[in-house]
Amino acid sequence: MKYDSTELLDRLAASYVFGTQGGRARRRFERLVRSNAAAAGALQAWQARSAALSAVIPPVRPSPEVWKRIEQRIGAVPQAASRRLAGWLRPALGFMCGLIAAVGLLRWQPDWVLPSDLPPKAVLPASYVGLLLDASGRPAALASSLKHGAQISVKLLQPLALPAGKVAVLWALPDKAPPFVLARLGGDTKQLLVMPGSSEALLASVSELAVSVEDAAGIPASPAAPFLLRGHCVKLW
Amino acid sequence: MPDPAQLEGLLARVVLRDREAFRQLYETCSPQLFGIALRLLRRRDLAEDVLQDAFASIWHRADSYRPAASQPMTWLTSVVRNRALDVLRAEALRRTEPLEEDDGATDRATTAALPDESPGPLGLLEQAADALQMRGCLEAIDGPQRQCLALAYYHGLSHSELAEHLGSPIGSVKVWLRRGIDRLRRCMERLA
Repeated sequence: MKYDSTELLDRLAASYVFGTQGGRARRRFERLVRSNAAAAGALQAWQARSAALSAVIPPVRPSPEVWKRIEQRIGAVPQAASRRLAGWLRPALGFMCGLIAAVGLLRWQPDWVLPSDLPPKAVLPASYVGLLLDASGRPAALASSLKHGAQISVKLLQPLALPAGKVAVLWALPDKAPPFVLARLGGDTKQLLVMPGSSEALLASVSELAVSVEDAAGIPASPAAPFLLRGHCVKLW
Repeated sequence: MPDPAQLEGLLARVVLRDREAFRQLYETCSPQLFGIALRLLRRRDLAEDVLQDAFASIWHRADSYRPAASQPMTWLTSVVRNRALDVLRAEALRRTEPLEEDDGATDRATTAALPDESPGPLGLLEQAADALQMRGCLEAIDGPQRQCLALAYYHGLSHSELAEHLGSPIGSVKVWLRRGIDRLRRCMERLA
């Protein structure tokens, strides 16, 4: 069948939205929409009309079970509100304990971990390190910067799939000052980003790092709340 | 009606796997979307399955939403309607699920899944026309065409189901529906 008639495409789109076709015809039209811009345009127009027709349908609250089943399907562990903060804090504390133990071990018995002919500083240089967690408390990104460096290295432990026109921004959260931008994040797993100054100047009084989603057109002076990722930033030397 | 800018922001965060945003999106939109699924399927269990499938799909496919192409509620409505229509076409529900009527003779026992006092399909079409300020244009559409539009859209009746329900030949039903849809498009284009 030729699909170059605007009228035909409009009819097919309307039938699809009204649902008067059978299952096979629906799949055929879905395939057509993927390859034909005019068909996609006709469908969009009918979907907008459909939303206007559906807007008058009285809302009905589904049973609470539905949300529980959705959470199970997307792999979320249901958490009580009071446990959410603990969810953020626990992995961070675990990470810090591990870090302290590792540094302690290196100082006490460097030969266990490092070749004895290398000074420990060659492997673990003085730096700032941050572990950022997502809202469910899973580690999502690792950031580190040498003590006097002007670059920050970021390793994404989970991919950041950004919608068109949006950008992920890395913020520093100082103890007693408003957040400020460290760098725009790209999509690569490992990235080396330039900061607006040296890490010692920027991060000395920063206790936390965070990532927010902003319009690519312009990053605002303060971040869009709430943060997508957030975590502690520690000095390491 | 949820604020489109708020929904757009939530969907952007859902793309980034923000579970809190997803929960807020569900809280904000699920009653409206469940109402749509329930209206088409008229069985709570099936409508809840559809809502569940639709939100699982929204979680996984939120990156396919294009803010430049459609309003967030338009996209969400399409996800739910498509899933509900697939279920309707896959299952021979019509044999067991009675329809509500618009002539005042609605049997409440048969439409227990729907909230009390909720209008029938023709009533909904009229309400939509009022909301869009096109009541005059809708009323200029012939009665059988208008009835086909309402039953097909809000109840998801196929051509053969419309023919059976209206006691008319399938050929007539197809013509009524096609003409009704053409007229409706013209009514709505005039608004746009």
